[in-house]
Amino acid sequence: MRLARRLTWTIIAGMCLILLAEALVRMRRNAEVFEDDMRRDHVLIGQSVGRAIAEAPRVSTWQETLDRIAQTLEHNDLIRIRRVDAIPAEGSGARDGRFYSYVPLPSDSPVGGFIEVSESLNAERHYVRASALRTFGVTVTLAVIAAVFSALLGFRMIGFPVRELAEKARRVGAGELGPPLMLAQRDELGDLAREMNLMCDRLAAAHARIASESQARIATLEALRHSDRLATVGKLASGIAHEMGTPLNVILARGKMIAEGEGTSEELADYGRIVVEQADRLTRIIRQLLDFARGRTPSHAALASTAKASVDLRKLAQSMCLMLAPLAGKQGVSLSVAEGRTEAVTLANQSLMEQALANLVINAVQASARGGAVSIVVGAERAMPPADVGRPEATYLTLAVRDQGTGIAPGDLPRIFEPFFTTKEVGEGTGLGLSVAHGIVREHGGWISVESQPGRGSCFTIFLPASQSA
Amino acid sequence: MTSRRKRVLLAEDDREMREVVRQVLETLGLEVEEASSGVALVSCLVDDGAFDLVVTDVRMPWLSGMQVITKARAAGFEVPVLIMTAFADDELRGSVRKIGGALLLEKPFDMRELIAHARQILGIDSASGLS
Repeated sequence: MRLARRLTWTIIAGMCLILLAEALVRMRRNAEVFEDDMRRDHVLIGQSVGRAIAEAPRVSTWQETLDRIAQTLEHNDLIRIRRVDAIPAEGSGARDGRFYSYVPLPSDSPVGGFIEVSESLNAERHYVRASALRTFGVTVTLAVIAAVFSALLGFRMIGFPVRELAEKARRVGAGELGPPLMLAQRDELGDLAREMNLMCDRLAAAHARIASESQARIATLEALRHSDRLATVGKLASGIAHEMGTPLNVILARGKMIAEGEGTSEELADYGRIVVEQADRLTRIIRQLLDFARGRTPSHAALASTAKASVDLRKLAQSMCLMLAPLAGKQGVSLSVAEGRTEAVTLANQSLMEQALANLVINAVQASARGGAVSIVVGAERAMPPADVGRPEATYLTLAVRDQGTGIAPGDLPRIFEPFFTTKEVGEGTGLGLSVAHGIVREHGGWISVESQPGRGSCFTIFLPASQSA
Repeated sequence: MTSRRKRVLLAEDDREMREVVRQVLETLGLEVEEASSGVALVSCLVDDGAFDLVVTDVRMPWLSGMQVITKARAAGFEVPVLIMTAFADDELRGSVRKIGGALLLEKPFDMRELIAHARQILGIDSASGLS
């Protein structure tokens, strides 16, 4: 409505100025005309008087004649006449509220000089005042009427539609592409409304596209993680199979003994117990691997697969150590966990964290020579995250995987987290492990830092926000 | 004809496995000496005199069975060896061939296989333990 008001006031002000200017000019013109008339009248009167005096019978003096005429005139019109010898210094014109004219007496008049005719200017002043009042009145009335009309029309044609448009824009900004805005008017504002509706349609289509692309991306990430997880399971499988040989052997032998009844019933009962124990052992070995393999499959809702809960990093390290011990053993590498004494609990997705840690440990084991040692250290330290993590310097929980293996060449270091980057032989590694781990840790608001010396070993450290700030 | 009982050295770190193999070997009338690690295997070989057969696991703490037997062969130890393993790859098979006088038993194996091999190596045709 401010727009309408501004327009209104500008137009009215302009109009008023014009009206006033016109009125002033007119009034001055009228005043001039008025005075001209007066002058003319006075001349006429003066001439008449002059003539009368000139023609007057010797019976009365010119003064008497003049007085008689003057009286008559005064009676009617507040016009005063008198004879003067000379025109005063001020001359003719408006003076002291009267208009003075000087008409010379004719040459054959008994007396010389001038007839001074003077008339009150009150009428003129009245006229001027009336005129001014009228102009003022007209101006004010016009202004009021114009204001009212402008206000009404402005509000209806500009203010209301613009408010609707603004409201629509606000709603679009808030994400509501909602029902189209229908403005009946067929002017620029109507055009604007139509264009906004078209824009909303296009935005809605773009949103839908982005949403489906985003879903596709999430699905791809899930699939990638799943395949990495399965690759890990594959790596662990032979180590697990190795572990299973001995318990199976015992079960086979003792089972046979039971079946063939070789022994006293006590002994047989004992063999039965042994079979159960060994079977439990096998179950434990397999269960751990199966749970890891299951993790979260792509068939679960994307939301569930990133669900976070309270995770104890020390327990996580221990269980990963157990699960990966067969693989380490097969490579002749010792695997240990140093838990630290402080609590290390954070908000995380358990199976994703398992996957990340498993990938780091498997890399460490595979990089180590026979007799080497890989250690997992749980701790906390004050650190400044890399710039793109967007977190402040604070105390972060750490999961470090240290090995004494081949190390990483400085030239390779910047690329190790790239997907499919691998220094292994073709067919030996997917090159996904580190990039999957990197992605998982980043999703948890953390980062992985690497220290490595070729020939001496490497240390990969996962930094995670402590529980409260996750 | 000697009536000495044949002596077998059994090296296996898993208790239950060691127990069941010992039991099986004893049903053959064999005297079984146990070692539960590579180190124990070495000390048994060094201290305890002559064995007629060694049955050993490959993967044991401290020293692997293979390392011990290889060294022992180099030192002139000629007793036949039965090697138990859960994971037999080409590398292991090659080493076993190189050692000579050794047979590979892949876990889980049938105890009858063990019995058959032991009988053959020790020349036993009955459960009496006598040759």
